[in-house]
Amino acid sequence: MMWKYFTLFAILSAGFSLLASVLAWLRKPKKSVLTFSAIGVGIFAVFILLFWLDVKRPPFATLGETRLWYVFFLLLAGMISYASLPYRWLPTLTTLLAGVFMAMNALRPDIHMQNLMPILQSVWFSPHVISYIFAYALLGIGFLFSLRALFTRNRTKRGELMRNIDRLTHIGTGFLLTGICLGALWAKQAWGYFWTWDPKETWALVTLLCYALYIGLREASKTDLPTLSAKFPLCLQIAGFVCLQICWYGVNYLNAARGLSVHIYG
Amino acid sequence: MTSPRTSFLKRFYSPFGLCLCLFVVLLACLVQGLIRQEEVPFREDFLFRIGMRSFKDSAFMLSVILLALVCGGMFCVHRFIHRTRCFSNLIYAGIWLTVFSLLTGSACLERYNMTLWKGFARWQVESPDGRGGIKELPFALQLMDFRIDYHEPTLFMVDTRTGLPLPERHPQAMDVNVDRLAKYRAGKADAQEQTLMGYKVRVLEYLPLSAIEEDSLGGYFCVPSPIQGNAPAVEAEITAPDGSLRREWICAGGKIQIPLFVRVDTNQALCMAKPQVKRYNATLQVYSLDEGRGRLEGQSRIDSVGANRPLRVGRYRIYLKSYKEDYGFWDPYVSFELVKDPMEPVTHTGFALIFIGLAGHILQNSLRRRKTAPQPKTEQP
Repeated sequence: MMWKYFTLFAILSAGFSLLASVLAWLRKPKKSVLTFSAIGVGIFAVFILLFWLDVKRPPFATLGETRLWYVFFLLLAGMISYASLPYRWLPTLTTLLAGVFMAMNALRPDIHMQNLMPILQSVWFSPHVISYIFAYALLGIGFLFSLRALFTRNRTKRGELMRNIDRLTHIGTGFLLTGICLGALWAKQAWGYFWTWDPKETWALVTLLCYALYIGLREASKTDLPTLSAKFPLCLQIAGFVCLQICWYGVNYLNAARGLSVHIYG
Repeated sequence: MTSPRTSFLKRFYSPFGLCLCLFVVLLACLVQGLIRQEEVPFREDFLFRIGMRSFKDSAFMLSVILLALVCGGMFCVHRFIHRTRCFSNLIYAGIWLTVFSLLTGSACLERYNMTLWKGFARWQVESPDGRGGIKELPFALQLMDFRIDYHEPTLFMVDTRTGLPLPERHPQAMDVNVDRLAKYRAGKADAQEQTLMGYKVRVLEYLPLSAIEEDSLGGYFCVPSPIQGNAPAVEAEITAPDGSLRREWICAGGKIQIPLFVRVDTNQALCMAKPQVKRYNATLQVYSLDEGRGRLEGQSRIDSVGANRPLRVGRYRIYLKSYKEDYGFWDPYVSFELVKDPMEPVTHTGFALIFIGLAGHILQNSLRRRKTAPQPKTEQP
């Protein structure tokens, strides 16, 4: 029932976030930008809370519900990053990326039933999904930074951006690894396997390896490979983001996974 | 000066060497992710003949993982020697231990199937592929009870031509609220009511397990019939947009029962979705056997198995594998899977190291940042 108000909440949240972006471009004080961003995030959080109460179960069961959390964490991570970093473009790009996922939910809504299948009634369910989605949001912000860094010619600015990308990637990859480990522990309890090379698991590993490779190359550029161009790790960030999208919902459309994965939902 | 042997070895444990290794693993995983992996393929195509459809079992994949283990192991040892006070070492060690235990665990993991029905005890299991023959266990299992509980059913208005729920862009669902129904029956609340495609639907009665009967006028109605496999039914009052009112039974149907739906006009029908399983539970009696003579020792215990709740007996974990919910008592077989994983404690240790390492790494970094942050300037007198 609550879902029919999603478009209203999404428009309000996106509206406040856009207003914050405009204020950031107009070089208004950070406090006012952050206030409007916080209102945008708050409105979305209220919707998630009301929706949770309405469906009477943790809202992580369908693809659309995971998108809800992604938008929330993306807006939140964007706001926190903007608070500590001097980038005016960050609220705009964060809002745009969040807007894409809000539009997906508004245009192709799922059927949200209160029922939760027995396998999802587990203590591992919420921490597993939350750590994944939080990682997706942080790595999404990292992707936006990478796009910016790729098109920046100023070496000093790029170096500064790279340091922030490193920080986001370290935390994001940590949460991704946590999500994979929690998923493996849950799989053992549910099916008796830690790892089955299910297409979703394979793509989660591909995503993790992309980001691990990024971290490794950045480490190598400080020791073994001082001449390594910064563009190579940045391309890996973009490849990692593409793999992340495949892992999240792309496997539903991959011929290689159709009918084989136990993770197909939504 | 470093010797040629040291510089050769350094290639394996340096960050760049590890990156090369990770890149090869990434390529192997991409092959797995992009090419459909099937043990029994739909057709034997070129990719099947060159072994790409069972890539995880290929010698290449095994070599790649072994190479990653060697490089990763050397990298971990090098870090533990040269960076002693670093929590990230625990993460690397944890990942290494987990991969190692998963690899060795997959080689020594034992899985068996056992099919039981109510009241029947067995101590023999079969290997899943049927090639391993029959194995006798040091204990016997007897199925005492098997029960499936369902979620309350959901009503949809369905397009009679396409069979899709309406409206197509955002289907409306009506979850039957049992608590509300109980209050309605007690006269404490109104009946649950919702509008689906302009038709007002009121829920008047709900039967979790029902049987369909025919009345003298040729119409159908439902009666309670508490037999597993029977479908739920709802009695609803439907008010059309023109104000006409009708009272009908709607039943989800199943393998042993026809569905009942209400055709509200030429294009729409009010239907019930197949009920979703809420929980399933098997109660087992576990007998320990007197080894050698194969008779019951007399020691037994009663325990239950369900989703996310495997039962541990000795070194085995027992999982509820499959059941046929639609057939009810017509198909009473319940399958269990018995798993013996000697490497499980090692894998758990690996995960524990990863979690401790991640928590410690975050804590260590935040403390370091706080220490290196510029101190606020104090005013000179």
